[in-house]
Amino acid sequence: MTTLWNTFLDQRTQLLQALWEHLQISLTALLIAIVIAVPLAIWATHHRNVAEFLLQVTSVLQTIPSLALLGLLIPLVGIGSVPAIIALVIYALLPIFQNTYVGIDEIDPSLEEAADAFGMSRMRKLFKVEIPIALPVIISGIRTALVLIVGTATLAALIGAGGLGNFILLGIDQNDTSLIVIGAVTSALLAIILSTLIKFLQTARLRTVIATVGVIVVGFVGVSGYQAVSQPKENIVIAGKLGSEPNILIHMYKDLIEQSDKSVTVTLKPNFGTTSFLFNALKSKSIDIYPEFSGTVLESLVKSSGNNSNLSAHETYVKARNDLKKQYNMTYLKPMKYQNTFALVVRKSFAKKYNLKTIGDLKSIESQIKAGMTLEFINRTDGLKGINKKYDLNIKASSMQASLRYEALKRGNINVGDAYSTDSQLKQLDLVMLKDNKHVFPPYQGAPVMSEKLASSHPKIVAALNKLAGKISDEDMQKMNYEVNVKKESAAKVARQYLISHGLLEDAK
Amino acid sequence: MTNKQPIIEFKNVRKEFGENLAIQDLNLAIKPGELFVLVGTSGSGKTTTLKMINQLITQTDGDILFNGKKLKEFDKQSLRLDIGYVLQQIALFPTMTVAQNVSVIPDMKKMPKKQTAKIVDSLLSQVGLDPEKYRDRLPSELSGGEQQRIGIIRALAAKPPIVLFDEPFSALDPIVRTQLQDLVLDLHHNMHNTIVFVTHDMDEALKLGDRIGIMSHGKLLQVDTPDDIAQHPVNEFVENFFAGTVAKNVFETPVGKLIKTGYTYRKQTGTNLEPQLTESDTLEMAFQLLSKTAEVSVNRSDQVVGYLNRQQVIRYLSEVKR
Repeated sequence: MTTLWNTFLDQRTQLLQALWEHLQISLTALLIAIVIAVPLAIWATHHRNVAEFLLQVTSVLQTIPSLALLGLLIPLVGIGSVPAIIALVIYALLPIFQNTYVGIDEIDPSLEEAADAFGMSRMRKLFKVEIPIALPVIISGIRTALVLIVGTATLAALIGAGGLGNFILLGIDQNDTSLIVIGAVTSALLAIILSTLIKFLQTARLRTVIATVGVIVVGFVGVSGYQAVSQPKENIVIAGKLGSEPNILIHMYKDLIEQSDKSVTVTLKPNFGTTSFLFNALKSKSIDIYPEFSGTVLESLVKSSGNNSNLSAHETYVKARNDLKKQYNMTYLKPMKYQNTFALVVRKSFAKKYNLKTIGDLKSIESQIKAGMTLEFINRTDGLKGINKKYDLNIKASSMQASLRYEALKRGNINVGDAYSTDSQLKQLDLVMLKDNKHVFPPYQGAPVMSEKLASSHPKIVAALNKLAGKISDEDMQKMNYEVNVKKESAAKVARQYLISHGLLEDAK
Repeated sequence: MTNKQPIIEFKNVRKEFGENLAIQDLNLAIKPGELFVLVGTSGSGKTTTLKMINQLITQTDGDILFNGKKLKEFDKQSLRLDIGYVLQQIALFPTMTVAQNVSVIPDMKKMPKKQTAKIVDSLLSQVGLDPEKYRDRLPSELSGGEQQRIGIIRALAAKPPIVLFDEPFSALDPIVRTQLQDLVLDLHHNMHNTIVFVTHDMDEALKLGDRIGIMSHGKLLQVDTPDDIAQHPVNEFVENFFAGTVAKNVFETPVGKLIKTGYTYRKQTGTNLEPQLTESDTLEMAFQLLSKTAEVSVNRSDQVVGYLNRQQVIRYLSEVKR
């Protein structure tokens, strides 16, 4: 209980921020859903066949699992609050549409007849008779939708839209129950409070309802507007993939940019997701910059012509840069020195014993190889498949999760594993990389990627980031990863130390 | 009366609902200022006829004239603003207060709010409901009889030249029904509007109608005063329809009905010595008096409107058919 309270005190600023984001996403989605569903349902009351069809459609939409829906929306609209709001709107359509339709459809026909007989126009009948009578039913539909939205909106955190889901995700990630509880309870409370507010509107007159909704909308726009105005500095969003290395890099980016361009602030989104997720985020302008590897660009992001194998590191980079520019109007800045690539690793003692230096040397001890590798590596043509082919080997690896694989290497359960060349474990476990002299593994150089527009309008940012060009060796990166992963230093601190010690950043203190 | 142009006139009107012929060749003229009752069993076409007047139902063939002008030539909505309508289901708008319900049509006619408020209060008083008490109530807070009072004054609020009543009292209990029938007569006498009143209850028709149209199976069988219908039915159906009303509870039949239906007579010189009855007194009381004297006078507000003797009463009773 004390931990919970302490976590709450600790996180209250972030909680308030998350609550506001949550509220913003939920209410925006709700208002949009109302604007779509209510008029549609009113129209449908005069078109029975269409109404049946629309009811079917909205029911089907509701059955799509929310996670799948969010995933489906990413390639279409990218990440952030837009796909989150779209998904929530889709969920909210059914209850609002259904209740509006039923509410109006079930009005006593004699009341409709009376309204007609008194000479009411269709609009007058709608606003004076039908909507007021159906209002309690419509509002109860809106209430159902709202509770649904507030709950589902926690998933928005998965696609970078923030909100209370961030607390839950972070809690799961860090195995911190307090965070999960705080996120969940706040979300539930929000649903209860909003639902009560709407319940009050249910019994109120139409005029009160419209006034209340008006006040909420105006207040909302006002606060959002104020936030926009009160943030005179331009905000650059930099995101990074999961893991310590991108995390360290983006902290370097932040320090360098904020040092040389005082007119911008930098927001970091560490551990933002996987490759395609980040790239889509960049495309949809949800983020502005993220560090990417040249090899990954060629392998996964651009549609490349010709053969990518046997390219040198520099050739790979140039090709990636040109393709990004041509196909996506993106600027790929100069790469850093270190190359993060796949590697086959063995323990130093093992290498010594059999005099292993290159991958080709494995041929002689093929019968003694016990390999454990990640599933991805085993299946990639520039992974194990390529190795077996190029080096005429027949290594059969059992697939294991990355950290388990290191554990297995350490315990001697396996003697050959795959690795990234900058993994901190290489240093930690005293592992040796076998040389890939037949160039199966594409050389991966890291560099920031951003839109061409941002690059051309912010030369200071480009200049700041280019300071890292040719810097950071494999050993530097391994060391920094080691400090973060093993010594539990903060990425920000490790990044800053490197920059200062290499004269890239003036020591503020 | 006969020289005046009819306010509503049906000319060779036919109405089909899909395959079914609801009305065949209807010709009917309703005179301004009269209380015209259409009576018939269910399925006779009386409600269809009524709803064609405000075009809730459009005729398949023929013309309906309103003050000599074809209904087709009117804008439906503005036409309806001039035709009051009272429904069997009452159909007060549940989200509106009593005052708002009554103001519905004046508001659409853009009458000044103050004037409308005055009209609402005065109408409430006329139907015996205290404006202070009832103005801001919701329909759900009223009894059935009170609701239909509001239903009636809602139709009257904008002083339409013609008001349609579609079986307005059939769902109400007999005592309330009688009260509301009297109310309709009162309001009609005060406002001099034209009323077309649909009912399946011949007693109600006889009580209310200046003229009565009897309908059956989409045909208008006879249009006449209550007196003529009782005395000169055009066919057996009409005769039976009337006889049916005699049969039920003779003792409680109001004496007024015998006046309406022509069973009383007039005398040049009354002695004013006969025992007196009023229209709402029952035949039971007449039996008691006639057992002692030869004739009684029937009065309406201290005016003798007719005399009744034993022979006439027996004649009325003999209308009961087996």
